[in-house]
Amino acid sequence: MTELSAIWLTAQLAGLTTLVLLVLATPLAWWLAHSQHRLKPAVEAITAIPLVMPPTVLGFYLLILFSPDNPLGSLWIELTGSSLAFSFTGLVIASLIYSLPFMVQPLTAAFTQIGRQPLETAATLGAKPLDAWRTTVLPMARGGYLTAAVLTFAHTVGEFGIVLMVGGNLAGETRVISIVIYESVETLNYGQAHMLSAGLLAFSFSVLLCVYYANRQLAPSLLPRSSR
Amino acid sequence: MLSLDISIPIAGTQIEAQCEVPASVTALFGPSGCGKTTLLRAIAGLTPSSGIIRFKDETWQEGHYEMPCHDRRVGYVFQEDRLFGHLNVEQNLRYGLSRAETQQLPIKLRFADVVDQFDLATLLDRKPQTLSGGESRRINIARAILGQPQLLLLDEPLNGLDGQRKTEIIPYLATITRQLDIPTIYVSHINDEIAQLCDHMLVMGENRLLQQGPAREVLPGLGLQAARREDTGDAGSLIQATVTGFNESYSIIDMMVGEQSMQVIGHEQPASEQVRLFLAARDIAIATARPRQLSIRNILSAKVTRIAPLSGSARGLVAIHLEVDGSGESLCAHISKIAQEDLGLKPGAEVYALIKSARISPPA
Repeated sequence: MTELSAIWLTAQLAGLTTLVLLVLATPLAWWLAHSQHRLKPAVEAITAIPLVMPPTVLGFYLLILFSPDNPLGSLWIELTGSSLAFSFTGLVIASLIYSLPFMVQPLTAAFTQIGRQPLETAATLGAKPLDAWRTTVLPMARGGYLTAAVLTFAHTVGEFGIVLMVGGNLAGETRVISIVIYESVETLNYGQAHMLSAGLLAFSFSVLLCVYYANRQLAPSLLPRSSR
Repeated sequence: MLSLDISIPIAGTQIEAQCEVPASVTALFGPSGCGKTTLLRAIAGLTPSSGIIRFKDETWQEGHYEMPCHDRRVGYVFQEDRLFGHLNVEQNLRYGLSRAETQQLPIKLRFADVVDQFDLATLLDRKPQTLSGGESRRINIARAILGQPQLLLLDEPLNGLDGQRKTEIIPYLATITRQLDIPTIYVSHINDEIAQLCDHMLVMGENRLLQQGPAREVLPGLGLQAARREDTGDAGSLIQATVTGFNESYSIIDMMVGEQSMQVIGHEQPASEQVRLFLAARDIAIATARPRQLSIRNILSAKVTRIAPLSGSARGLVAIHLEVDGSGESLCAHISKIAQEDLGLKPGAEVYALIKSARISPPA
């Protein structure tokens, strides 16, 4: 039962993180793809930090931030009556930060490749900016969205260090698959560790395989002839 | 119709443009890289500029006000293929049309008519990636027209097409510009395409407008500028002629230029129809006496008005500007400097222009 509850919790965490990031990362990635702002390199660097930092470092800082001694942590407790640290909500916030580059980077690449031309063309055909974006850039970027969503989901499923720091190990609240695997190994329950590890490996491989196949089908047909 | 007084900041410099564009087909002519496309983009509202742009009774730009591109209702055909790759041909064509319908604009150009006119019925289900260059050009143009534009901007719509494809598309362009009665600005750097389509010309030099006016006044003067860009092959003149008859067995149209007659090979034209002839500067020779026993049949007596040396790859040539006797039409011929000196040609000299070839341009 521990396994099933952990799998369900992991799926919820990864699904929620992916959905929220789809919304948050779209404007950020669009800005990164097209802005000439002088602060752009700084924003790019901040976005990429989770790629290079040990997850425990991020987890450590988040834990401090969430603590009741901190303005943010105490505000949250005042508003909701519960602490962000060692809670599912805290875990979602941590995952959003930790998985941000996996959503932003594929989207930025897709938006850069699409460029502004489709928006210009749509504007000359009478489409207002949001309408133009929704009917040209969005469908043209579907390959990028698929890659970004799948990578984000899979990466969130696989995170460990930050979960351990921020979430701890509370059944049904913060005990995700990677924590259960760690715990199984610690308690010499190798059978359970094998099962969950093999499951994660198979999951990751099949998901990535699907993405790469899908992108092969999608990508060429979306580019205008001139840019191929 | 369209009045401009703008300056466009670009790459550390400014493009200045001040002009009035009439409600007809206007060619925007100039060497590559002089800012033609930038000017067109500023008119459409795609590139920021400062100054004043007015169209009919609308203000498109003044002071801090800038009407966004999607409200200007310009049909823009870009230099490169801009069809949407995720939509098929019909969805591409309907993109602007459906938005015009939603905004309840009067639909003057119907889907079926334009599809018919551009011969697109068999292509509607295709994806843009499967089209030939000529087909996608036609669809780019048709899509812009179906957006019900009040101004049509064509940026080298024939760019990158071979001669065969161009002859395929020029009739379409001629038809739309003549029939649709939408003011059109047509960017090109090739003279004789323009000759076939436009009535009015804007001539651009490095980052500014040099000249504007009716095509038949501006075009003969371009010989010199064409030479500066080492491309004398395209220079030429447009003159007005009146059809007087047609000789079916030789496919010869008889016509009068002022009081002098000409014969041009072509299709039958109604008598007394006004036609425009394009005469390439390199296809005109000069003689000081009327020659006999010559295959060239079109010989116009004329007076030299101005002589200008050419440079670049045309070094050694001079542009001889002529006024055709009894008509007021002007011509430009490119001949060698040595021939000019041998013949003793000077402004005011009475000469004969031997016209090796002339082509009829469709009337605007």
